[in-house]
Amino acid sequence: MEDSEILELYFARDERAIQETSDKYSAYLRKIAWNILQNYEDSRECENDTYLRAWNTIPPANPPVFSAYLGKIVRESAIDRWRLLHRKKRGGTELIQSLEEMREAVPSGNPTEDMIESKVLAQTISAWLRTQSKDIRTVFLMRYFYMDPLTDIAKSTGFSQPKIKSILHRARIALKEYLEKEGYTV
Amino acid sequence: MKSEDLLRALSDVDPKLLLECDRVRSRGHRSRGRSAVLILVAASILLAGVSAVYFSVKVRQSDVGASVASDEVETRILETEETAENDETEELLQDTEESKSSAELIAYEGISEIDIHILKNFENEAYCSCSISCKPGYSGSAVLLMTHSAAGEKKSVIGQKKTDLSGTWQITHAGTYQACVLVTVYDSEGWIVNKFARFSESVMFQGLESY
Repeated sequence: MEDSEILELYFARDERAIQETSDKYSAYLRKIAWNILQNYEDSRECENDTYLRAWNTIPPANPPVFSAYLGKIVRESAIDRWRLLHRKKRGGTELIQSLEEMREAVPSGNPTEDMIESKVLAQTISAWLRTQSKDIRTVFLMRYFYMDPLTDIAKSTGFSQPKIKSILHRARIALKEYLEKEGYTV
Repeated sequence: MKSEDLLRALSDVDPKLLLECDRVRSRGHRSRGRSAVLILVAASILLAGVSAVYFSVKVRQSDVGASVASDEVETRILETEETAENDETEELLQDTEESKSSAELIAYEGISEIDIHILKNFENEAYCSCSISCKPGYSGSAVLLMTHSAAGEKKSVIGQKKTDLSGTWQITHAGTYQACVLVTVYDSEGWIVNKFARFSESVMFQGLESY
């Protein structure tokens, strides 16, 4: 079923919307959650949370890219759950590794930066991504949005893992420079 | 600001950029979708010498170059017809042709043609064949089910084929038999774009009959 048709079901408050969403995007959503949580049950719960949040937010939301909308929800849900779980224990998930890597590019410690809303920062990152090549954008988002392991990125892009590491390293440096140029203290 | 906050902010990144990324990510799924494509035709069904239900399914991917289904199936039916040795078989094949010509072709997304038939054969055999053709750029996988229902009872699945999608089942009970094919269609990037079930017509077996 086309996304537009699924969205019509949401707008009609037809509960088949959830089933259709699940049929089409279950694997996609669970993969995102899995990359962050590395736990089947937690990933499944995040997936179910996503259906519920989609049901509760559409309408009025009418996402132009339905998959990205769902991906955002499940990602946030998984990160929230990870935070909750991480208070109790530490593990070697892709999220942790991504966090470690991102420290190179992260503005840190300045109180004013803490006031920058997430969406404004996201717009800045989006603007930076648009200045990059498609390969860099893809590898960057696979790693830092979807939290894909390097092996998966290599499989999808055809790049070797050393090349991917190199791309990510240069991307982080470039992002850091961009953020500084945009007024962020890094 | 912590690195975690930056990662969190990425959740609000431009969805168009994510869509672009998704297309590359889905390559990992593509091979799975294509590997599920099977080409199987029931040309040998009439060779069965015992009471049986025989299925054949063909799910074919048009974008790999070969043209598809309908002509090939018709050819095979005609070839089979030439070898028919008795009136019952000819009648069966005639029924096949009529059924095929009258089959309703529904415009499923990604599917250019789908036919599924079940026919009562001589010596209490039932014959089922199914052909599915994908539109260019799509591929598919399918599971074929045979169902049976006796009078006053609910329909139950008596067998299924997932991998080779062909085989035989013994018919031992009177009642109504109906085949069903469950189809999953993938787009060129391996994403599922459609899932649906298509039933054949029903055939009735009232028990062993002599000819």
